Order: sequence, then C-alpha cells, then structure tokens
Amino acid sequence: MKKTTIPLLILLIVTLFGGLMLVKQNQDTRKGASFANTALKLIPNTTIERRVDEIVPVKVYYYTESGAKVDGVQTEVCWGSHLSLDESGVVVNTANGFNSSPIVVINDNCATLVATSQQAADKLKTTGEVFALKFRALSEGQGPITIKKESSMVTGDNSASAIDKEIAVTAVENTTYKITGSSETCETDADCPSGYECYQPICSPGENCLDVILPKYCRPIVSQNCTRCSTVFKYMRVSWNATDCSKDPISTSSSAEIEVSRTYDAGCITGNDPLQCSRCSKTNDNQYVWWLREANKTCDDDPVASQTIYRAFRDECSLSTGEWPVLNYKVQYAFVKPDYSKCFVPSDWPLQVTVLSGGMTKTYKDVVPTKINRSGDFVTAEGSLLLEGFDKTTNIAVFMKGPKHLQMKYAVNKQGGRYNKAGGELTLTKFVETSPVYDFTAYPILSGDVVGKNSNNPDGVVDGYDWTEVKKWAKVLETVEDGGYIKSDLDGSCQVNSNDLYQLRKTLEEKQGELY
Amino acid sequence: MKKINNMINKNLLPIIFLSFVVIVVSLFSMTSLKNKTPMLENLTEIKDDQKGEIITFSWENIEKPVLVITASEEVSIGAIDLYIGYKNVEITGVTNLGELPEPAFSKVSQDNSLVVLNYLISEDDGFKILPGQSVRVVELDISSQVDQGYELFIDQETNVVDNETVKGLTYKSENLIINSILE
Repeated sequence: MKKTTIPLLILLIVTLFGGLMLVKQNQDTRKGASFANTALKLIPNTTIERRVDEIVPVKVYYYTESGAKVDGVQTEVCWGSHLSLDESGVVVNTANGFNSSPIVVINDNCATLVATSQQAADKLKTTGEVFALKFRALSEGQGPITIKKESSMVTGDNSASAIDKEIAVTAVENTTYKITGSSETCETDADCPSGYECYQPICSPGENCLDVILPKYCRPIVSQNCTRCSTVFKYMRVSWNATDCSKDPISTSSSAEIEVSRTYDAGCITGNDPLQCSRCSKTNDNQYVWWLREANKTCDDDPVASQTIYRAFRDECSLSTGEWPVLNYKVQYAFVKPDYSKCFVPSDWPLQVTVLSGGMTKTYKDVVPTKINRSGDFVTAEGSLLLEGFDKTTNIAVFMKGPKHLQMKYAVNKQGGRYNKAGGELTLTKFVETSPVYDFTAYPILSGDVVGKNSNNPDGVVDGYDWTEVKKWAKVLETVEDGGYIKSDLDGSCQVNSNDLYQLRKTLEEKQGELY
Repeated sequence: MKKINNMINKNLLPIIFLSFVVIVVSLFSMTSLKNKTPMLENLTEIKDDQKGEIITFSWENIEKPVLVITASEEVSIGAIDLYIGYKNVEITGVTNLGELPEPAFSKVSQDNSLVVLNYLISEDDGFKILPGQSVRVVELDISSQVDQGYELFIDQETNVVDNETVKGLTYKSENLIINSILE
C-alpha cells in the first residue's frame, strides 16, 4: 500500500463519523424548536394620559411572521402602583378564535394571562388582539406597563407538525401611562376643569383612615343620557351621552366624537331653520327623513345623495300607496357579527338597489334598512323599498351593493349562491303588507371593494388594490370610536385589522371562483 | 501486494474516468428523453416595449414554461393579480415556485383560456424585488397533445400593486410563442 493510503482512509472514516454526528445534532436541535416568530405589543404604544378614577385601556396584540396562526398566548403584564387591575378588567378577544374564559392570575402589580383556543386553523389569525385590559387609575403619577418577554409563550397551528407548536416571542413592545388629577384639591365644582366634579373621598369601612378627613379632589363626571328637541328640525328629538348636558353636542368642537341619535317626536316644534325639510321616506318603509334644502330648491325636490339626510323610525310612514310595487327584503352584510360591529350603522352603509324585469331597470340609491337583527351569528338587516317608477311585479331580479361591497344578484327567495341564469323569479305586490319578504341572507353581500385601479373609489371588483389598501390601514390598526366609519373596516368592528384582511381574502376567493 | 497495488493504480483511473463519462452520457440521455417534445423554435416578443416600465414579465422555457418577474428598480409589491392567457394549448396544471407566497386564488380557467393567480402579500413591507433580481413565479404544465404552435401571454387584466402607494406598477411583458414541435 502507498504511504498516503492509510492517512486517506483515516480521513475518510473521520469525515464519515463527523457527518453522522452532524446529522444527529441537527435532528436533536430541530425537535422542540419554534416554527415561527412573533412579537407581543401593548396598544396604544404612546403615553396614555388619564385622570384619577378613569379607565386606562390597553390591548395586547400579537404580530406573527411566516403566516403562522396563533392558538395560544401566555404572557405576564406588569404596571406601576398608580394603576389597579382585577379579573373583570381582562377580556379575551373571541373574534380571533380564543376561548372566552382566560386564565388570569394577579400578583401585586403583575398579571399572568393565558388565552387558548380549540378552534380550527381557519378561525385563527396571524395578527390580532388577544387581551383587552381595563386598568383603573388610582393615583397621580406615571410609569410603564410592560410585557415580560421571558414569561411569555405563544403557540400556533403548525401544519408540518402536531408537536412543534411553539412560536418564539422575539420582541415585545411596552407602553407608558400618565395619571393626573388627584393632586388637584378643590372646594367646589367650580375649582375643577370642564367635565370634572369636586369629590370628597369617603373612608371605606375597615379602611384605616385615622379619623382624618381626606382632601377633596377633582374627578371625572360620569356621563349621563342627555336629550332635547332639535333647534334645527321640527319633530326631531336628539339624544346623546355627555358629562354636561347643557353643552350642545352638535355645535361643540368635539361634536364629531359625540354620537347623537335622532327620533321622531311630534311634540318637538322648536326647530326653526328656514331651510329645513322633512317627510316620510319615499323609498324606505316606516322611515321619517329630515334634510336642509339648497337655497334654490323647495321641499318638494328630493334631497341629493351628497346631502346629509337624517332618518328615524316612524310607524305611520307606510309605503303602501298601492301605486308602485314594494320590495320587502332581508339581507346580510358579510362578516358583520353582532358582538363586534359597533361601527355597523345602517345609514352609513346604505345600499344601492337595482331592479330588473322584462328589459326594464331602475336603480335606487341610499336605501337604508330599517330593522337590524343582532340575535344570530351574523347581523341581518331588513327593509321595504318602494319601487317608484318601476311598474313590473313579476320575473324580477334584484341587484344590491353596499358602499364597500360587491354587487350581488338575487333572483329567488332564500338564494344560497350565485344565480346563473338571466332575469329573475321574484314576484311583488304594490302593498308592504302583502308583498313577500324575500330572504337573501344565505348569500351575504360580499365586502372588500374599497378602492379602484389607481382610484380612491370602489370599482366593482375585489383585487390586489383593495388588499393593499386595507393592509395599509390594518398595519396601523386604524380605529374609530363606536358608531364611526372607516372605509377599510369591513366588519364594522371600528378597527381595521387582520379580520378585515381575512374577510377580503375570502371575498376574493369566492368571487374569483364564481368568475373563473 | 505491490503487484496488486500497481494493477489498481493502473486500472482504477481509467475505470473512474469511464464511469464518469457513462454517468454524464446517461444524464444527458435522460434529459433528452424527458424533453421528448423539445421546441424547434422558441420565439419571444416584447408585447409592450414602451420605455419606463418598472416590472418585466418574461419566460424561461427549458422543460416547462416558467414565468419570471424582474424589476428595473427596487420595488415593494403589495399584491399581484396575475392573468396568463394562452392560445392553441391546454394548460393542465400550474405550480407556484415558492419564491412568492402561495396565491390566495389559483385556477386554470379553460372556459376563459386564462390562468388566474391572485397573490396577496401579507407582510407589512410587501414583497421586495431588487433591481436585476429575478423572481420565478409559476411553472405551467402543458398538455402533451399539442399539434401546432401555441402562445402564452400576460393578459391586460394583470395588476402589480405597489405596497406603499397602492398604485399600479407599470409593466411590460414578453409573449412566449412556440411555433412547432419536434417529434
């Protein structure tokens, strides 16, 4: 044998063993390793400023990479001595698939929170809210609210393995608070800022107050129900919640944030705006409408779509004139759920209804359902539409779309999917009472059309432009107060988040499946 | 023993060389067999050769047609609605090559002669393509029952959406035209 043969053989054997060891080591480290990364964040991430006794709201969000869907979150949140939290202040977000009963263990100023899910993967989310925390501000001061990364653990659905479910918590984002108010001692309410009252703390039984009278301080006035007749429109009663009912909710600078509801009240005759017009709706059954006419118009002219029209239920406003057919309908706006749709306000989500029969078509804009049912899994909306100017009563097809929705065709009662024939099979009468109520809720009005191709207006299709637009707002969790409106908030939850993106994806899948 | 060693040294090298030649020839033969229908003529043409397009759709056609995206500048894509039209051929399957995420919707629509793929990019920052970088998107399975030439092209319904501006990124595309088939 050559001199080099033996060293070569040894080298080969060593390499072989080395390779085998490396293979084994690789397998060992893979077992139990996390299959994705996530970040836990406290929202808002800016300083939360509140006064003593007010609620300090904080939400815990997860942002998971690689499309991994989260089915369990355990975390520890800690806060300063100026705040308190009890178990009732922890609410888990069931819309993201978590069970409604979290495990909450509070020790001193830290809480261990656990949320789990038994839902299938398609009900889970990659990004979203897991906990909503409501701290109470106890005393003046400031400090951080933090997530302990080392005590946090996230699990998720791993399609590659039923065992390796851990998602690594690679980052946490904390927030801060600033509580003011307790040091502002006062004698009377006049010493306190607007919206606050001078409060005398009372020593609770068992509390060691040493017979010392605690100083009075300013605390927020609990809001109350306010109501009065409108000063603009006759027969209109306005209602709102405020700490001070003497302040006009409409003329104040913060009116945009105050939700004002309106009802018909024949006793209200204080409205004195010379341009005011009001009457029963010509299109929506049991609805009274108010608007301010333009200077060159009369109240006989219908308001144009761009004008603000106020609406209220009025039983006496019946469409049963007997002259035109009436469409009694029941629809479902896709994905709008009863518990998470504080921003589904029918007047902000008006329908455009087109009817077709025998070559005749007519379109009605600004159609607002008058009855909302929140008792089922999804919100349903009902209404009656007078088809003024449309004299057909048989073989009718109805096309409906909302402000961020695709146009859906309805041609039969209880339609459960796409109607693939021309025309329709609906039959109407000219009276609300006798015209059939057509139930289209099994085929919801699909949402997701928020922008067009290089345009800010919907274009009748759901595509990549809509996805990118909704994602832009979901990235920053764009949020409005209850009753508000965001175009990209597809489920009316008052926030643009991963639920809206999921919803848009489902719409795209369904519609593309129908078209192609 | 020395004799044996000399014999091994004398014979081993030619045997190794011969084995190597046999393996290379076998591999080459197998590849040729797989390409039983190689393209006699493989022509591409620029459909839209206007200046200034940021995205280019082009084709690689080794065994199967593969659609490739390149960019002339750094882009961040929020979504792609991809519509691939075809003529004189049956598309039997479409395979996402994994460089882009799985499409939200993927279908070969025989009725419309279109391959439809909707890519919705979940990442906040979109899908980045650097200048000169090639992204292999999909591979198409073509029916073996192709008698005449066929054509693949990017349908004008296709959108490439910029992640930041939510506007369409301009694109140009090459058509893949196969004139005839080698039997």
